[in-house]
Amino acid sequence: MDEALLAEDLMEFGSELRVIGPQSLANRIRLGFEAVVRDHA
Amino acid sequence: MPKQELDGVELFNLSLSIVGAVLRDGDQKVSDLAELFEVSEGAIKKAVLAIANSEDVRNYETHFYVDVDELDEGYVSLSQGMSSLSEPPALSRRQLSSIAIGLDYLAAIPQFQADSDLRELRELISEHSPAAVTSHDPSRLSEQIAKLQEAILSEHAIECEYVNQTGAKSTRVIEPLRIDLIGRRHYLRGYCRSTSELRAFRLDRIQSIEITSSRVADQTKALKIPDEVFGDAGQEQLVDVVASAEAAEIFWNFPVSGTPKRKGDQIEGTILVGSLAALGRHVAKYGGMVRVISPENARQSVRDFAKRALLGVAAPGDEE
Repeated sequence: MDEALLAEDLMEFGSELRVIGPQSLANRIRLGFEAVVRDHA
Repeated sequence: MPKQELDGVELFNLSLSIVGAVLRDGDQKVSDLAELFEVSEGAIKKAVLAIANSEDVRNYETHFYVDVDELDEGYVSLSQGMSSLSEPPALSRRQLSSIAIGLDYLAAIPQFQADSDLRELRELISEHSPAAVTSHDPSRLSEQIAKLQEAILSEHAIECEYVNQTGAKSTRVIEPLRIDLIGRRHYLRGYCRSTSELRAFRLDRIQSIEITSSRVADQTKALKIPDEVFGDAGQEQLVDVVASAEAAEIFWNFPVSGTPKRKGDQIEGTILVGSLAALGRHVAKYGGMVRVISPENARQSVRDFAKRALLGVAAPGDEE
């Protein structure tokens, strides 16, 4: 599974889950949630 | 009704499919190809002309010659041009992942487990898969599918532990009817004796499966399984969403009101949502590729979910 698809699966858990590493995955998830907040502001 | 209009990607894919079919089986009727690929005859002709206009941009040589006279008479006839493809076309990460997932699915079906071509193709794909951060072990899924197939074929109910989308765990007795692959997920479609309803169960949320001695009821076998995964749309709220093509599966994961429409590279449509509290996780996971347009309380639900995720703060509202 590649990182983008894994991020998608993990983001479904919202605040119930925190990614420790790799940093690129954690960043991808953070940017994704930030985009969601921005799009729904 | 056959598809009338194709976007660039669909036209490209259709062109490739036509090339494969004609080179393998010889000249084809336009009408037969239209039926095969479930598009209009006009779309077939358009795709064939796209093939005719394709060329190797490095050598300015055409890949295929199309017999235009034959096309006017309703036949597709191709011959290979001067240029040949020395390398397979480059695939995007998602295209590659989608193909890999499809092949995983095929490999999980017992009839294909010993297929050497499939094994070779999967090895080839895995060599070129970019940025893998996990290894995928399909054995659990394979076992689940095999056991469910056994139950479906023998017409016996199963008992399983199931974790729903809110995280609640329960023991269910299900009369299994069908396994669907929708988007990237497998769903068991069956009659749940615990809720007395036809339901869809995500296989990755089923924790154990036991085949019982209880038979699937005749009235269950006669049930018509709806296309949408989530059932009764009667009590649900209409939510307008826009999604990028990559996230179009959102329209598979909810009942849809009307037909989603393509606008540029986006798809707009209306989904029916049973609980706005659960909408956040379904939308937020796409990281901006799906946007809720209205109503405002649905937008707020999604926004709150993402905000809580950023802050790492759980809230009761996360759960249905």
